[in-house]
Amino acid sequence: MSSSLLAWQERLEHHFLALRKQRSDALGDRPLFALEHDLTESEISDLSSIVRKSAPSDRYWLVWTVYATELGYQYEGVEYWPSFEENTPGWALGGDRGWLRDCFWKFAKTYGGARPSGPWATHFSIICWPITHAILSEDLQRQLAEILYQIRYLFRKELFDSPELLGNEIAARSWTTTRRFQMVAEEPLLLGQIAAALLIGEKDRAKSLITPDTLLRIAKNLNKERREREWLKDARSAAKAKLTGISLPSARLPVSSGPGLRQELRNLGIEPRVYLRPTLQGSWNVVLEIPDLGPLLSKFPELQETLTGACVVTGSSGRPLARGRLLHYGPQSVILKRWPDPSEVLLHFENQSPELEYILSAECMLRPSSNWLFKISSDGTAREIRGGIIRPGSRYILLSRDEIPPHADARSAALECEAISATYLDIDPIFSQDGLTYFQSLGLAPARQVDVRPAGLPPVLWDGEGYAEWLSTDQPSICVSSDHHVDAITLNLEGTAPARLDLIPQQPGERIFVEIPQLPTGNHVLHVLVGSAGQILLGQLEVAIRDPRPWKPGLTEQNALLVIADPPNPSLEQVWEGRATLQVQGPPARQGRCEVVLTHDVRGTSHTFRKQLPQFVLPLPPGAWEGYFDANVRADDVIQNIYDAAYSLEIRFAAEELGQSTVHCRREFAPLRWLVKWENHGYVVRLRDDTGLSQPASLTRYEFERPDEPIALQMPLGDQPFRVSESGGLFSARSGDLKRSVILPPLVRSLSQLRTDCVLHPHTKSAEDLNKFISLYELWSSARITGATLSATRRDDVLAAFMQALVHLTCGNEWVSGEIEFERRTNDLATLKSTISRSPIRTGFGAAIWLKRDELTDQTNTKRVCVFCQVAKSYLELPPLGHLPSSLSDPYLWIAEFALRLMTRPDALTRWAASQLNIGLQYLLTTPTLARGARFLGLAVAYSKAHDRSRLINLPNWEWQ
Amino acid sequence: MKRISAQELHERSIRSLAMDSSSLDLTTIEGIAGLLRRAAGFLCPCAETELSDAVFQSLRDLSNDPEHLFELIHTTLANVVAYGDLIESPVPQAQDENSPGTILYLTPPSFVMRKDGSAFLLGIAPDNLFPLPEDYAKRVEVDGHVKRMFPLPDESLRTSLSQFGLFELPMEQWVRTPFREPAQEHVLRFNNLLGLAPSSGDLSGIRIIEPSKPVRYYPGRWTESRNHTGRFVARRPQAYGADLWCYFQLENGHPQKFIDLPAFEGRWRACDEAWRLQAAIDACNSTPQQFRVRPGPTNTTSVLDLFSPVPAWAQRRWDLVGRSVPRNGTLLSYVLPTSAIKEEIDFMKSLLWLVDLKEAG
Repeated sequence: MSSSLLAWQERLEHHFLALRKQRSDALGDRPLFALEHDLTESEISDLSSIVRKSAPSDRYWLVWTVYATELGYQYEGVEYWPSFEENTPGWALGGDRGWLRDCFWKFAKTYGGARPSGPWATHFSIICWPITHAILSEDLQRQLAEILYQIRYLFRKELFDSPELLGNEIAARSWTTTRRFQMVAEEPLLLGQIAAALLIGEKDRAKSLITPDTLLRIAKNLNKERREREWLKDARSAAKAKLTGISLPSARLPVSSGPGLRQELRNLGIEPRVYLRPTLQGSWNVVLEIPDLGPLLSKFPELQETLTGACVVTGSSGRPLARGRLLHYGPQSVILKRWPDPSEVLLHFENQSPELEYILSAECMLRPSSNWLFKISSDGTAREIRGGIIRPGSRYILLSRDEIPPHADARSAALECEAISATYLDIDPIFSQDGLTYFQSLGLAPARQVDVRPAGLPPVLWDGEGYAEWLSTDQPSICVSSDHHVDAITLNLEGTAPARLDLIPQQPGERIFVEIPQLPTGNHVLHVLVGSAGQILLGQLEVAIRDPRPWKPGLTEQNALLVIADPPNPSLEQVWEGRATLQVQGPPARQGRCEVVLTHDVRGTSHTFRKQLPQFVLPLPPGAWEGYFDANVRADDVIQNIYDAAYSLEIRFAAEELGQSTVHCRREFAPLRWLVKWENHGYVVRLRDDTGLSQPASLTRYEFERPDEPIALQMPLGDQPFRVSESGGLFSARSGDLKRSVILPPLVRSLSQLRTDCVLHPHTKSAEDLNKFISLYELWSSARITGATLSATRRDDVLAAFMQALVHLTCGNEWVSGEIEFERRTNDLATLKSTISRSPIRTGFGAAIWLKRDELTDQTNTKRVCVFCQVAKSYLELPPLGHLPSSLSDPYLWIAEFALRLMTRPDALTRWAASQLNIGLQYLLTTPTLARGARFLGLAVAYSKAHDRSRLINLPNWEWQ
Repeated sequence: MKRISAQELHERSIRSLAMDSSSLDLTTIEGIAGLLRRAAGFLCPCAETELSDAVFQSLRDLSNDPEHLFELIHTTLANVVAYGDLIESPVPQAQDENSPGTILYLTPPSFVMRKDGSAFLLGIAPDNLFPLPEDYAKRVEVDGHVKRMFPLPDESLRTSLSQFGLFELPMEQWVRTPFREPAQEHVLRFNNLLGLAPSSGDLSGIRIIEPSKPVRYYPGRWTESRNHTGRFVARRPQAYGADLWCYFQLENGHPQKFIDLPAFEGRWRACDEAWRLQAAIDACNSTPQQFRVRPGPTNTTSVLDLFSPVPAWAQRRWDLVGRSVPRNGTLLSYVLPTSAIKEEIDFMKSLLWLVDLKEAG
C-alpha cells in the first residue's frame, strides 16, 4: 500500500510542478487548485480506496490533499468532517484536522496553490481549504447552471471578453442561492472563468485559470442530470450566438464620478418614471414607478448588502419598502404624497454609502425642470411626454412648481400631492396663434407634421411622441410618414452604433418602414431631418435599450399573487424565531394554500416531512402570517420534534391559477454551531466546531432561574454528544471571536413549571450594571431556540427580566410600575405620558411625543430619531455631551438614537455605540427624563397598531440596522 | 438601418414571436395574441385598454381598416384572458385604496395536462421571455389564442415542464364549471342578494344590457341607463382600470341598489358571472340566447356559433375539444368534432340555458 501511495505522491508532485510552470509562463502567479490533478474517474477511485485505509503521513501529504479536496467536491454544505471520518477509517490512526490544513499550506507554498481568504476563510479556518480547492462542488455547479440559464438573454460579447463582468452578472443573481455559492461569488473572476469555459469553452487553453480537464469534469457532471444538461445547453446556445473569445481580465466598474460613469448608469435603465392616475374623487395621484434595480447590482456587486436593505421613497408616505423589494420583484409603483425637489434623491436605503448616494443622485432623481407634461391616455392614466410635445385635439396635464398663467385652454386640476400644482391643457383641434404663443411660453412645442413611431413589435414603452424603449434582444422597427409633401427624409442614428438612411417619400401619407439594427443597451438618438420646400425641419426619436429581466420560477409584481419575504432570503432560524416576516398579496377573498416541507436528518439520511396547512383568505399581511405560522407550524408537536434536526424548510404558497411561490429557508451556515437532538426523553446536544482553532471552545451554561450567573461547563471533547439535564438552560460556546448559544427548555412535569421566576443579582444604578444587563440581553436574545415552544417562552421570560432591570435603572421605579399596569392592560399608554416628568416645565415633552406617535409609526428609525431629538431639544434642557468624537455633527442626535436603541432593542446598541457605550449610559443615568421619553416613544410606535403586549421586549416596529 | 416592406416587417416580427412567418402575419389571431402577450410582459399590471392600445399603435400602420383591427385586438384580448394567459384582478389596495377597478396581471408560466399527454401552455413571464429552453420553444404549436405542446416519444411532458419551473394547473381546476340550476333559481339568487344591498345613492355613467333588445346582436344590447326601471346587468365606470360589472336595480333610470360582481365566488371573473346571469335573465324572459351548429371545414367537424359572450369556463372547455375560428357574423365560433356536438349542446343548455337558433325560430 505504501508503495502505491508513494507512486501517487510522486505522480501528483510531478503533475503539479509541471502545471505550476505552465501557469506561471502563461498567467504569472495565478494560483493552482488541488482539484486540477487531472486524474480520471477510475484513478480518483483507486487513489481514494488506498488513502481511506491509510494512516495520515507527511510522506504522502499531497495524496491526502487531493483526497480531502475530492471530498470537498462532493460536499453539500451540511457536514464535512462526519462524512470525511466515516469514509476514511485510516483517519482514526492519528488523523488531525490541523495536520490536514498544514498539507494545504504546503500545497500553497510549494505550487502557489490557492489560499482561502475573507471572512469565510477566517471562520472556517480548516474546511475552507478542501472546499476552496474543490473550486465548485457538485451542488454549487447546479446553482451555477441555473443562473446561467436564467441570464442567457443578457449574454453579449463584453461578458465573454471579461470573465469578471460575467462573474459579476452571476454574483448579482446569487441572492437566492446558498450562502456557500454566495461565498464563491465573492471571487467573480474565477466564477466568470468557470462560467465562460462551460458556455463557450476555452479559446486559449494556456490562459485558462483552471486546467481544461478540470473544466471538462465540471461540465460532464452537469450533463449527468437532464435538467442541468438542458439549462447548460440553452445557455451555451445563447452564448455562442453572441460571439466568442475570452481575454483576461477587465476590472469592475469603479464607483467614481465622471461622465463615463453617468453614461454607464444611464445605460442600466434604472431611472424611475412618474405617471398620474385618476382617483374616484376626480383628482389625480402621482405615482412613481421604480424599475427593478437588478442591473445596478450586476454593475456594482459590492452594493448588494445595501440594496437588499430597507428603502424609503422620497415624497411617499414614508413607510419603508420591504428589504430586497426593489431588486427581486420587478417594477414597483409608489404613490407620492409630496413632489420631490429635483435636487432630492428619490431612493434612500438604510446605511447607504456615499458611493450609492452618488449613483442614485445620477439616475434616481426627477429630471430637472419646472414643468412636467403628461398626456391623458385611453386607459385614464396620464403618461409623461418627455419632449414637451403637444398635439391638436389631445388632453394633457401640466405639473408645475411655478404658477401657470391663466388661459382659455388651461384649467386647474386637483392633485393628491403637495409641492406641485396641476393644470389641464385641452388643446383645440387646430392650434390658434394665441394658443401656440401660450404653450410655447410654458416650454411646450407643437408636434411636427412628420411622424416617426414604432411599428410591428410593440416596444417596452412608447410615450406617443418621441421616446421609445426596446429590449436588447429586439430588432426595433419604425414607421415614418408625413401628411404633406416632403422632398427627402434623412434618419441619422447617433450613439455607439451610428447609422444613416436617406428616404424619398413618393406621396404624402406614405408609410415607410425602417428596420433599426439591434442596438446595445443604453440611450440612442435617431435624428430626423426633413427637407420640405427649401426648409429643413429637425426632429428626433429617443431610443432606449435595456436588457430583459431574467426569469426564474416564482412571482413578481406583475402577478396577481405575490409572496414577499423580508429579508428576501430568510434562514430557517429567522423564520422559526419570527425574525423574518412573510406576506402574501392577492385578490381579496380568494383562497390561498400553504404547504411546509421540512428536510431533516435521521441518522445521516435525509428525510422530508410535509404538512398542508389550512387554507387562508388573501391577502395575508405580515401580522397575520405570524399568527398563521405560529398556530399551524410552531405549535405542531411533530414539527417541533423535527425542527432541531431540520436543515431546510420550504414554504410553498399557491392559489389556483394565480400561481405558486416557494420560500426556501436553509439552516444558517456557521462555523460554530449547536446540534440539538431529542433522544430518549431528553435533549442531547453536540457542538460542531469548524473554526479550526487550536484552543477548544469555552462552554458556559445559564439557568433560567439565575440567567445572569454563568456556570462553566465541561463537555466531551470533539463532536461527542452531551445529554442535557432536565432543567435545561442556555448553553453558550465561544471560540475566538465567535459565540453561539442555544436555549434548551426544561422538561415540564407540572403546570407550575411552565413559567419561571427569574432572579437577578442585586444591581446598582451604574453604567457597569447597565452594561452587564445589555450584554446578557444580547446573549439571550441572540441564542437559537429549539423546536419546542417552551424554549421561546423561557427566553422571553428571561429577556423580560433583563428589560425590566434596564428600564428600572434608567427610568426609575414609578415608570416600571406604570409599564406593568400597561402590560396588564389596567391602564393605557396615554397614562404613562404624565410619568415621564412631574416637572411643570417638562410636561410638554410627553405630550409632544404623544402627538407625533401616529406620524412616526410608518417612518424609518432615522426619521424617528430626528423627530425625537428635536422634541427633546425643545422641551428639555439637555446637559452637554462630552468625550464624543468630533466627527459627530450633532451629539444630541447621537444620544437620541442611543436612548431609542436602548429602550426598544437593547441588543442593537453595543455594536452601534462601540467605544462610546459607557458615555451614553452615563448620560442616560443622569437624564432619566430623556430615557423615559425614549421608552415612551418606543412603546407608542410599537403598540399603536394593537400588537400583542404580553411582553414588552424587542418592541415590534423597531428593527434597527 | 434599412428600409423594409410591410411584408418584411410582418415576417420579421412574426419570427421574433417564435411563430411561422410562412403561414401567419401580425394581423392573424395568432399574431395579435403573440403581440398582446409581448406587450403584457412589459406593461402588466395594467388596464385592458392600455394593453390593447399598445398593440393597436404598433399595428395601425400595417392595416388599412383600423376599426376592424381594433375589434380584432379587443376580441383576441378577451380570448387570451379567458384562456388564462392573463388574470383580471382588483387594483391592489396598497397602491390605491380609492380604486376598486380591475386590471390585468400576468398568469405565471404554467401548464394544463391533457389526457393524451399533451399540454396547454398558459401564462407569460416578465418581458415575455420564453421560460423553457429553445428546443421546447420550437415545439409549441399556436392555434388562435391557444398554445399547445405535444410530448416526444417516451417523454413525460409533465416532468419536463415542471422541472423548468412551470407550475401545473390541474385540468379539473382549469375547466371547473359552476353548478347546474334552473335559470329562474339562478336569477333569484342574485335578486335576493340585490334586495339586501344598501341604497346606492347617485351614480352616473352606468351602461346596462337591455334585455328587450335582440339577443343575437350583443353590442346592440348595451345602452345608457335613461328611463329604465327594473334589474339589469350593468357596468359602472372607474377612474382607473376596467369598468366594474354590477347587477343594478333602476327606477326611471336612477340607480336604487346594486351589487358588484362576482357576487358568489371570487374565482370567476366578474364578466363570467355577469354573462351567465344575463343568459339566465334572457331565458326567464322567454328570449333565450342562441347558438347555431353548421357544417365544419371537414366531414367530421362542425362549427359552433355563438352570438353572445360566454364565460371563460365555457371557452376553455371548447379550447380543449376544438379550436376557435374567425368569426362570421357571430361573436364567437369554434370548430368541434361532430361527435362531440351533442354533449356540448347539452352543456350549453344546462349551464347557460341557450337554445338552438333553429328551435328559437
